[in-house]
Amino acid sequence: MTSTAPVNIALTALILLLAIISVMTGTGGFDPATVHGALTGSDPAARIIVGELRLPRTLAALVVGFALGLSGAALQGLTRNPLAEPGVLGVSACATLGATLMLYFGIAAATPLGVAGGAIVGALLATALLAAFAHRLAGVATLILVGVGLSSFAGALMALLLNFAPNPFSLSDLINWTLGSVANRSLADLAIAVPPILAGTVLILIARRPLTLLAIGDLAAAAHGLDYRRTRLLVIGGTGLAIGASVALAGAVGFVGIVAPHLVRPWVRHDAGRTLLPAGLAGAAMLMLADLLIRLLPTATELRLGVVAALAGAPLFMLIAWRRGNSTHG
Amino acid sequence: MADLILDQLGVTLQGRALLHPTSIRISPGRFVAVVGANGAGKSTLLRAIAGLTPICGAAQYAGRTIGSLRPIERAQLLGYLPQAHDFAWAMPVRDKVALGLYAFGDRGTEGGVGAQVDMILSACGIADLADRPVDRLSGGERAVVALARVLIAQTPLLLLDEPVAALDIGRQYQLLEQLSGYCANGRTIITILHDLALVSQFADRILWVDSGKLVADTENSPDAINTHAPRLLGRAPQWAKPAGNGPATLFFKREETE
Repeated sequence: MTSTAPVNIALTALILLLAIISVMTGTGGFDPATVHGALTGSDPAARIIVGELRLPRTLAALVVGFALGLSGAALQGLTRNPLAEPGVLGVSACATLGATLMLYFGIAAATPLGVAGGAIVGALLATALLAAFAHRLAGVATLILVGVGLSSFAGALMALLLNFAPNPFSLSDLINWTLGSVANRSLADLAIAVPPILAGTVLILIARRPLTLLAIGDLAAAAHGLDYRRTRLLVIGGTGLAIGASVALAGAVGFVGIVAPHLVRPWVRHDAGRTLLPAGLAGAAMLMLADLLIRLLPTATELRLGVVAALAGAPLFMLIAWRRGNSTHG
Repeated sequence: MADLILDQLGVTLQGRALLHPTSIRISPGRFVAVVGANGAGKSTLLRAIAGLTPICGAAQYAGRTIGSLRPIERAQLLGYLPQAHDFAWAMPVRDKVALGLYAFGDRGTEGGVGAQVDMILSACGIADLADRPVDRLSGGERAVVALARVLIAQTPLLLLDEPVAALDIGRQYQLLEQLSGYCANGRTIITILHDLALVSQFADRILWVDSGKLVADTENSPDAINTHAPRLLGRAPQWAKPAGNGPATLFFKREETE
């Protein structure tokens, strides 16, 4: 029974370091002078650049990465499957669909909470659907196939909405969500997304010990005192809130939820409950690093965060699937 | 007075009776074997007693109705070993076995989790596996780890679904001898066993199950085994007298083919 404190402290230190570098980095590259100008108050424009562009962007990458890493770890613990993740399982796609519906029916225009609300409901429904079949989805193939089905279905419905939109809303909004980005977010956007993410985090962390116990299978875990229904509700509610809010803020960013838990697992003795918090922190660090790279890479147009995450994450996803396939034959 | 009482305990799934209503009383310190053919309803009986499947009727232990207990209370009272063992994640054996203390909080029952784990690992003869990741164990080793996880909680009632089926002869005897010791200390064990040679040597009492019914409830005796085994299992047992003193041992004979 080792403590996870050293891992959490190290990851938090890394996040702080990345945050400092991120605030010092503009879309044109590394630029600490602006921060100096903002802090000393000598340059009002610098204040706006740092306070209203770089800081919200940095914080958005942090909270979205945290939500993705934590939710990935929670879903993996619940399904006992290292390939479970909000993106792969279709939770993110359903959240995107929920947000799009809000736009379609004009609810998003009526209230700033509309998009977040729609995304959260979409994510909750998808997670609940997956959890309802969780005991039948222990096999990798079934689980991933259901996720693919759910993603495609949500994608098709979204295309349908676009086709029939009487008042076609901005296509770039949709692309933002399907590719994912934290650029041009405001502190007001963050204020809407952070409370549900925090609430989701609390729910998921309450399920910490039960998720550890679930490693022995749901029947054995129930025999040892697990309240499976309660655990499932906590994970569904927690990931639904966290993923819904993070999709509303940054769109569907894939694979962080797979990679982050995978990276920290050896440091917490492969304990699904102890994986949660470090996975969230690792997710935050990963997304902050990806967002930093986007700004430092000399590309003509800025790369999308979700694209970078998928480029790095998808190969690892395949590697885990391949290894797991091999080990189950042994 | 920690009697186990089954009062019309039954299991019905989609209108089909998987376990017909069963009423028996088992006093503490008994080693009870459940015997029957594959699919007879033995595992269903165990899960029904453990409160892990929807039931009609009731199972009471030590004056408490198992089905109405909260999961934690139930886990403090009885240990249940399922037939299949799930080994998600590469946790070390030590951590996996410690999960058996879940219902007792992070500190375990007495003397700290670490000491209890060490004790049960050596009692089960797998101290050398303590730090091995569970995904690198053989099928038999996994079965022992799962059993150790159930035994560590030291519950007064143990319901074990084929605890030794995957094990080598040496381990089978070692673990069943250990379980017999538990019974001598007043704990109650109900276990599914397929090997009638083991049943005849270790059980006090035998529950014979066929087609979802408890068809006989007997003390362990050669007569009882001779009566029920051929009918339920389709093969008559043979008995061999040892050279010296001691009880006859049971075996089955291969039928000659022409």
